[in-house]
Amino acid sequence: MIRIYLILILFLLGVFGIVLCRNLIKKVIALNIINSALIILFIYLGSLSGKDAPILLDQTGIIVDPVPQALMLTAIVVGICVTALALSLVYKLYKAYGTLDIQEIEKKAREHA
Amino acid sequence: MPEGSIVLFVIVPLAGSFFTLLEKIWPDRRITKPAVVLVFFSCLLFLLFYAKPIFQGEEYRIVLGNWGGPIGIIQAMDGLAWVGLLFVYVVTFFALIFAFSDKTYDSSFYFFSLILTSGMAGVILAADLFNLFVCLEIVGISAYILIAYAKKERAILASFKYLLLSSLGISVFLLGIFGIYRNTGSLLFSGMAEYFSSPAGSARETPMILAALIAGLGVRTAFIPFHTWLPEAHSQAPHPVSALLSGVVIKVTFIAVWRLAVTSGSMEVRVFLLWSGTITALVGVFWALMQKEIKVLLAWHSVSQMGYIIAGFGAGTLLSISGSLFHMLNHALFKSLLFLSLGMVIILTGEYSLKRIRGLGRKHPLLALVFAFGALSIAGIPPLNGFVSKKLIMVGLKEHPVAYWSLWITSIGTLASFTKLSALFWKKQEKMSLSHLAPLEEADLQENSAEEVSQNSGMEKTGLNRVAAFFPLVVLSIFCLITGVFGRQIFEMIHVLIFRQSPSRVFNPWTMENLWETIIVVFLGVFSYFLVTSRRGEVFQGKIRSLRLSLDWTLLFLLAGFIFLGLTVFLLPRS
Repeated sequence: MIRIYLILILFLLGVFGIVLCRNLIKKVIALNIINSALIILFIYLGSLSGKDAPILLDQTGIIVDPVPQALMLTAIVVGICVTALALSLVYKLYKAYGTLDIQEIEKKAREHA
Repeated sequence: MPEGSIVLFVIVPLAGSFFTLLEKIWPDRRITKPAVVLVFFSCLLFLLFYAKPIFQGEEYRIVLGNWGGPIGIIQAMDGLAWVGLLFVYVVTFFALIFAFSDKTYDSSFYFFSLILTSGMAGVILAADLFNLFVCLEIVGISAYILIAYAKKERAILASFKYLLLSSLGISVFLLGIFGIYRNTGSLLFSGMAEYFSSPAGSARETPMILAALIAGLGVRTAFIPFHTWLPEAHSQAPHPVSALLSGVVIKVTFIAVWRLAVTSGSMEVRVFLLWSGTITALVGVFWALMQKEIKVLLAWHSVSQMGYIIAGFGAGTLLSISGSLFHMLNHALFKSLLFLSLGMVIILTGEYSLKRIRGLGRKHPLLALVFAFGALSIAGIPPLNGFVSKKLIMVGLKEHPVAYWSLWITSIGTLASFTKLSALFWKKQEKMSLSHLAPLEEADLQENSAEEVSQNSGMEKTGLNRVAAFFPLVVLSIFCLITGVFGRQIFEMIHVLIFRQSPSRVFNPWTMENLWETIIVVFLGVFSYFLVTSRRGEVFQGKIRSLRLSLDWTLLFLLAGFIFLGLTVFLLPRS
């Protein structure tokens, strides 16, 4: 049970980070933390289904369900794409506004409009 | 038709996107535009081949990669998917033709547009949850890039905001997928349907799982309280992309919500969708009426019209469900028409604000005409298409008086705000008519008229191709008219496609009663237009506009929405 709580704490850390951090790069990292918490949750709960690694050479023992792992591999790839794109957007914002502070950026955007 | 060929609906745009990139390697070969046209022609032709068997009630399923069983990647095509693909291809095609007119869009723009098309086709055809997740992310990533393609600072900010919010949404969706897999051992919609109808499906966490899935999709579909990203993202994007996003992308995710709601067979989901749709429609139209930037106003209308679609589906009667799908089709047509024609206005005048553009009607009569088609459609004036589908939804909603009257008020608000918007065509640039404006804006207007000469030559400056720009506008207006005039027949076709049977009773929108009702709505709408544009109304508008949510508050709002939904589901009495 303690593992579930640890994952929950990781998830909440990400949520706090994404809302409270003013730095855009920290926001992107917080998004990654949320994503990682979910991935760890999947892998952890998926791993409870068996004991051995899912290598089907000799059919002894109960193997772990490989589907959650396969799914999470895809989710990790998607997460990397989103992070890369987010960071490039942050870079463009930095070049346009000269700061990474979201509140200052929004203030400048409002004045400009 | 061979079973396996439905995968071509996804593959063909993907292959086309590869060909558009070849122009980056050989810049002197003009292959991008022919490739785009070829992709859409072949997809639409292919869709036509499928029309006959689909109308006869056939369904196609294909298992990709030979991984059958409960974890395979499955695509399926039925009547709903057919209509969805139809409006995706038609609207995307015309939006891209509009983009042809402007040389600033290079081949990478078409590359991402085709990837977006491919992702949308994937979402529509997906019959298993994980495939749906991947396709949603393809749609998402290409949409973020296309929004930022405007290369304005605000567009990049809007794109970043959209990225953060929808990534949060998709994480919640992923959580829901995990819940489903853990309980059913299957990722297929069919496996889910079995689970929900079995006694195990009434477990305590089932509603939570459903809520997570629907909230995750809800961020993309933009119903309240998950709509906060939409007005900015849709208004800051380049004009063809705005047309695409508002026209099709939000509806494609709603098709996924639709499948989920049908699969779960849960009454609670329907009730939730009904009320959330009603509130979305009302709030959307209220905020739209308060806006002064023309594209922001239109974007809020997308929120509001999605409310109609969601509420119509949630009401759950045969009429309102077919009305919902019909309105999806119609909204795709007229909202892309509106975004493209107002994009044209912005290109011609270089102005974004409603108050700075006046009297365009005389200078550009064709533009005024196509805009009128779009505006009358969205306001629900016969004989255009918005009238028929809105009437269908309203008639289907009769059992829920609160929702019915809310949508009625929404239609008044829609009319009022489009009267306000159309002022840029009919209102003259005179001092007399400006007496009610604040002095500052009056000064702005005078300044504007001094620059008028230079701005009106914007067309020549940008080297815009007039034919390519006006062709999609005219064709979309004709579509709006056709789907309106033949509304009854199209309703019957849609009914057959969804329910595999003809409607039990004849629906005739062309009655005197409906006509009178429309006249009352028009009267009240024009009245509320004058109310809003009165001196006090202007002050009120300014106050409402200043209530803009910052990014942090938007995120908090979204999280509060998730928590609220989770708590309601948790505390709901179990039936």
